Amino acid sequence: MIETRLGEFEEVILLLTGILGEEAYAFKIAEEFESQTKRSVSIGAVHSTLTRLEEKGFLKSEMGKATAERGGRRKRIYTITAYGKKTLTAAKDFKQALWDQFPGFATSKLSFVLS
Amino acid sequence: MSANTKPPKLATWLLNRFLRDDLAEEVQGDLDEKFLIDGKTKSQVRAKLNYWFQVINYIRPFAIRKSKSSYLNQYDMYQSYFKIGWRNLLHQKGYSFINISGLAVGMTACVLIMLYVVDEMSYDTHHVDGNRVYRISSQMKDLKYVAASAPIAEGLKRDFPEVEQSTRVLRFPGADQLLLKEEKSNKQFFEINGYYIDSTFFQLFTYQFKHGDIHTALNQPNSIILSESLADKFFGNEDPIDKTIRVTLPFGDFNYNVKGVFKEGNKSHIPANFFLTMNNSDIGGWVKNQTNWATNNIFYTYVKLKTGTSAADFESKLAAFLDRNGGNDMKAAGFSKSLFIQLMPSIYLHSHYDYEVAPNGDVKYLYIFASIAGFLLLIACINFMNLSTAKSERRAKEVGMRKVVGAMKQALVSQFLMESLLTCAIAFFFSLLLIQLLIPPFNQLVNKQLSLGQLPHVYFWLGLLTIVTGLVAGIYPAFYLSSFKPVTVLKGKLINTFSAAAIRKGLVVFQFTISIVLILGALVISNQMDFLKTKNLGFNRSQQIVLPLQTNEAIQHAETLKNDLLMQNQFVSATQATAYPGIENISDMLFYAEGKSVSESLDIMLTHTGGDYLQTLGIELLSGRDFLKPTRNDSLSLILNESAVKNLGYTSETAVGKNIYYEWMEKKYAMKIIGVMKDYHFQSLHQEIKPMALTVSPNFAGSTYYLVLHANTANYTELMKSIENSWHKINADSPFVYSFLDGDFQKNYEREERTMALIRYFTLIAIIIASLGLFGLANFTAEQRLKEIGIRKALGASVTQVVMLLSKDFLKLVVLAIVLAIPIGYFAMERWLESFAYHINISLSVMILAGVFAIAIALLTISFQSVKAAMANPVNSLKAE
Repeated sequence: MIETRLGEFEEVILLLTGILGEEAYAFKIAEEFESQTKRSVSIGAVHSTLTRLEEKGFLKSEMGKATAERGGRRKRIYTITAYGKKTLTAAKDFKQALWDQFPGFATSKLSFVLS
Repeated sequence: MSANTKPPKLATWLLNRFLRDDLAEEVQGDLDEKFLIDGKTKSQVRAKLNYWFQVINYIRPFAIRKSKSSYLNQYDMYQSYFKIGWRNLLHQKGYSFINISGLAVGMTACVLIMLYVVDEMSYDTHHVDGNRVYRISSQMKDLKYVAASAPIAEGLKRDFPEVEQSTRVLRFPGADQLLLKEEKSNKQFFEINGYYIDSTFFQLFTYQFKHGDIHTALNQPNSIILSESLADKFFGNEDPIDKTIRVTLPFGDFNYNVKGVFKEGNKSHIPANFFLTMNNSDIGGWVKNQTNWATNNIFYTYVKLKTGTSAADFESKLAAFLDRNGGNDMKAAGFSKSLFIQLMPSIYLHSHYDYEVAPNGDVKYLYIFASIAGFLLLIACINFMNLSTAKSERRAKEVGMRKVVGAMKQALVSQFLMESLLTCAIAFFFSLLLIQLLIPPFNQLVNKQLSLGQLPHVYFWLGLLTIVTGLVAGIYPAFYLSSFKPVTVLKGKLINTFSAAAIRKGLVVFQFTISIVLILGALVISNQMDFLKTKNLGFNRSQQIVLPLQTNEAIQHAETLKNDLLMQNQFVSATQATAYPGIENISDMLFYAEGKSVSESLDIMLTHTGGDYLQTLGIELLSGRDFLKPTRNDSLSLILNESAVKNLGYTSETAVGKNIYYEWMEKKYAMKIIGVMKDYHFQSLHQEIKPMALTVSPNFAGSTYYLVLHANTANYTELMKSIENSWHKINADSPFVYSFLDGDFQKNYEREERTMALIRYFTLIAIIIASLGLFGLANFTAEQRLKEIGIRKALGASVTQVVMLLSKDFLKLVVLAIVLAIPIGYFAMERWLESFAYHINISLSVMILAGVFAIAIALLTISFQSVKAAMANPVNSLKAE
């Protein structure tokens, strides 16, 4: 059985894949992850997650172009599938719904009570 | 990408080993790109490390290649290997015993030796800038002398900008121990290893202070720095700083203030117990007056060079430096010398010249011991190899079956390796016990305080030793056993191939070669030691009692004491002297014969005596006469030894009555030769007999004296009691100390004696391990040829013939080993003997003895099995089948 929910790390990777677009391959995603989150991550860990996300159907991939700095090797470019986008939106909506119920944000209510 | 900006090869190789093929391209591409970017922003090392990190992080289930074998449950197989291995050990108890005990003893020897070697190598490694500190030593003709004249240290600092700091160390000439007193507690001890040091000493040598400030401790005159244990002896738990200690010297007592206590534990070629400031009220004045660049080369001089200075360049400038500053002094003294440098941390193991600070270790012996340790372990490993391959028939069916049901060669190799590792692990357990048991006697043997704990990461190294031993012992049998073809072995064919048997024989020869070399070595060393003990030294060394006169009082009363003792009729004769045979004598003077000039002088060692020296020590006078009594009328006379006379160009007959000359402070003095004595060994037999003279002239009086007593009784308990009584009666304030001359002389051979003891034990261990292996092999052969022996006996062979038949094969190997070992041992021991100026020659009989010994041991080992097999009733072996 394939697990279809998104973990936090998976969600970030998925988002980054979307952000990077044409440039979304393991190394770039790992770099971007490090610069955006200030957390270090190995390429292997990112690659492992990408593979898993692909298995789940959130991503699809194909081999891209080769460049000189890679010793003439091609890279695997990942793109988000429609299903992946849907799951991301669902995750965001779910969280938003939770935030809406969070008391700290109901300041207006609080001031209302005080006045 | 240039060569050094490539990712680490090993990491790439590793990646390709485990990575799924379909991922290879993209992953390698990613990692290369990462590496390239890292290389631009970080150091190469960081980039490479990061590359490793990335590779290792790819060891994840999704990325690993699915290999066939990974479908097998390895864990269960290992469990099975372990079980089978364990059963095999239990099943063949005799062989297991041979293997385990051999390996345990081998490992124990190895670990003990390693402890010793590591300890010897730790000398002077703790100094912070040790690798920039050099000792300045002198060379006069072919005599290398590790000290220099007093002004050289300061001169170097002044003349060379590359010298960061210089310092001098001085040991009180001739006195190996000094009397220290603490007034309040009235404690007094004779202490060895005290050194005078310049105030800059601690800038070159790293010490940790327990009390006091290392930076200011030497600033005031008459300061003393104590070792932790010495401070403890005097002051216990009290703070010793600024307490007073009285140092007794032959010319008076002097107060020193304790300014520091240093921690012990780090070893140095200066085995200091305490330090005294060179700036002091006893010899300080004399030291300050030492401005001559040529003479009194007794100051150990050290310099610390600035970082980045080439030591070779520095050394090459020393000749000009010495010539510029000391040229005139050298010309006046009539000799020339040169300076050379020694890297301070290497002094302990590599410097063996004259006047060393203390006896040093020797790197040669470390190599010898380390290789012996390795060989012992190898001999034990060979037992394992030989017995495993010899007994392979037992395992052949198992191997065949395993292969038939699908085991691959790799799996079998790992099975057998695991068995050897298991054996080693058990051996290691026993060896740990043995080590704990043997460390105390071993420490006594080598005169050290070694413990397992002092090795850094000791358990890692021990574990590594076990694994390496297991692999060395197991790798050959593992490949041999796992290479059997299932069809052949299951058909029941004999699988003992010719090549395996040949290798086995070769290994036995190797084992015995090593053992015989060791036997030969042990025999030669012990012969040489006997030679040293019994050689006629040209004087009488037995029944000589030496009393050091180390206080002013004792020196003043020496004559009284001597007369008091002589009245007791227990002594033949007694003499006072600055030196006696066997101890270091550093006073010498350059003399030249009538009609020669100062440039043709001969360096003659001088011993100042109080008369009766020849009589007391039993030295033969060849011509002329002894000193007159009282001696003061002979103050311009000398008695020379043969070697001095010969070097001056005389014979013992013509020399008497001649004058010889020396120059001092540009004045010429004459001394008359009144007698010639036979050459006697006043130094150990390591050295040739040098030119030497006896004198009674106060001009040559040294600073220390000894009273040598020749006893005519062997009842030492009584004798020592009466000497002690007289001593205390006459020298109330001086402690009574004595030694025996033969013992002091023998001390020169301490290192050789220690080596002899170690080599003896090693030889014994090697013989035991090798014999165990031979015993196992003999047992195997006898077992294998059981039927053959039965048939032979049934057909009429006698027991003797059968024993001969069984022993012959092994004896051939031992004889071959003897042929190989004798030349190896001969050349090795010749080299060792060369370190003695007087030594035995390795005789044929020693070589024969070693060979006979080896054959005897081998015969003894095999005969048990062969006789048992030969005596057996042939019916028993033939009736079955």
